[in-house]
Amino acid sequence: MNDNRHEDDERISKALKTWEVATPLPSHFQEQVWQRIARAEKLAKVTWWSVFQNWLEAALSRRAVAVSYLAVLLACGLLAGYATSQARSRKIEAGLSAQYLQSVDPYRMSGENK
Amino acid sequence: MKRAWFILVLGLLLALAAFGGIYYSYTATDHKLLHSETPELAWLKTQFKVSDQEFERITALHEAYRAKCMERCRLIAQKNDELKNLLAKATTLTPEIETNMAQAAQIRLECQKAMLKHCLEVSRSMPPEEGRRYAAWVEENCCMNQSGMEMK
Repeated sequence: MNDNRHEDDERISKALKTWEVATPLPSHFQEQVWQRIARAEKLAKVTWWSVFQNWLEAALSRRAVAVSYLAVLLACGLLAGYATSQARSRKIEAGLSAQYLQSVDPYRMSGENK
Repeated sequence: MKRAWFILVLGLLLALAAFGGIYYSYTATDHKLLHSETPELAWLKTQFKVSDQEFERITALHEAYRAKCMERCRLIAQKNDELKNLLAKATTLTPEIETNMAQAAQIRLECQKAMLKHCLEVSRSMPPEEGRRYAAWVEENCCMNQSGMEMK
């Protein structure tokens, strides 16, 4: 069976060697091939950045989404500012009350009641 | 595309501005207190809603008390050092140590009495309700706290 296959291959090889293409290639054939390759490469280059840019453009071009985005960020800024200021105020007040106690209590001043 | 980026950046700037605005407006009073001449008294003034006239009296009381308090503080430190030296040398409870301990206890008693007297004077210089609140706060944080710590 292998012998038959080998013979077939040899015959095909010989036939291909004698085959001559008579039909001429269409004009700008090579140029067109290269253009198709370039187009395919361009399509294949989809980066996360381009995806993000497209998504951003699509999302923020809608008025409702843009307004919601601004409102959410404004609320986040306000909330974070309020929470941070409260924590800071508590810390300052605790420090000042300790400072007052230290100023009236000699045992705190001398460091005995630590 | 430019519009989308503009909105994105605008949102971030808006959040930053909101954060800064709220933070500075809410902590402005505290920062003012911190940068005052006597922050602890400025704190007392805001905490116990003391008027300017009352505050002047409280400041005068505080300054007069502070001078005596510093002297007592020096005495406490001196007595602590003496006791520490005696204890370093001692192997038994000597009469000298006993005397020193009694003197230290006497100083502590005098300090507590003077502090309580001062705090009650300060509380009387405040509006009645705030004065009571101040006295309770002092009791909780100074006098009672000390005896509480000793009991533990």
